Amino acid sequence: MTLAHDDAEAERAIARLIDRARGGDTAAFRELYDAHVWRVHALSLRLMTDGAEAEELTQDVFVAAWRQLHGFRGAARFSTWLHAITIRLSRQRLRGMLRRRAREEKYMLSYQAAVSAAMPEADMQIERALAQLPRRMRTALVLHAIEGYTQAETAEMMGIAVGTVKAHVHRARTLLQERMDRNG
Amino acid sequence: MDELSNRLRAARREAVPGRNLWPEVAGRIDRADGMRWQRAAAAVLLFAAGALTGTVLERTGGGGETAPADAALVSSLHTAAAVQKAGSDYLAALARLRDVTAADEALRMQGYEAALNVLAVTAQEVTAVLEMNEYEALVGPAHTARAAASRRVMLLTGGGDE
Repeated sequence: MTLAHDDAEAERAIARLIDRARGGDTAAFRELYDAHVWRVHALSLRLMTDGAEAEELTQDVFVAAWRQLHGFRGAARFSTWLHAITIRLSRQRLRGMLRRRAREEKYMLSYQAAVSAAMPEADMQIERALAQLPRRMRTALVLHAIEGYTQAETAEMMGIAVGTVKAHVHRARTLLQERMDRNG
Repeated sequence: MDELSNRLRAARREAVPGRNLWPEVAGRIDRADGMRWQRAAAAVLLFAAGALTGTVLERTGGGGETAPADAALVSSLHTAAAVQKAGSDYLAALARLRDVTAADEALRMQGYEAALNVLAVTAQEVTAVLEMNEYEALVGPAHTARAAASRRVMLLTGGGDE
């Protein structure tokens, strides 16, 4: 069986679960949650750079997804749709937070501990440098360079122009490289 | 591809939360579903109130021959508009309440309780007027809305059965 065939079959299975969940079947929604929660949480963690806030955000995403399930048209993958919700809700949550003290060692140690627990064998040098990037640059770089979305998809999810995404990604990569060189 | 791109591409795309998040998600979903009937009940009440106001206007309007400047008609229109606005405000407030974050759970539950009380009292008023005017088609749904709201208030406030 080919990888493409497996992907198509997986998407069909997800579509069937979505149909059932739209009808109010919470067991089907639980299966969707189980299949996607780790992907959503990875993005939440990198956006919030805080373990507890990331967990709250991940919960918010699935509650919002349940409420808005009728609005999912299937034009994009379900995981992409969930990531778009994650981006939108993270903005609201970040507005309510104090400005992050990314350079404070205590805060960074706490975040690194959360990343180590949630993502065993993570590249901590990369994760630490990512967390120190300005929020929009970090979001653009994570979506494009880690999650693998195209620049157009990233722009749509962030609600900004493609040119701005290009600029953010370019600047983010430069800053990331500088920080990694400096930190050794 | 350069080394940085390779390392970014190789970064993990899955993370395991530090605790089981599903129970809270499921609880919030249940509560969200509980709000659905409430909005339906509010819609029934708005419909009933609108129909009632329309009938009042018809009666006071003398078969539609009354001049627009008629003071009674203008007053009735204002009343009808006020009913509609109150209903819209109620639904908007419920929507805002739904978006209150989990951190404000106590505040949200207080809001639900107040909203349900308003709904129950409004349903009671509308039902009474509808029964007086024998609008049988509307009495059933209004009764249902009132009973459901009262049950929910009991549950929220920890009271016994109706």
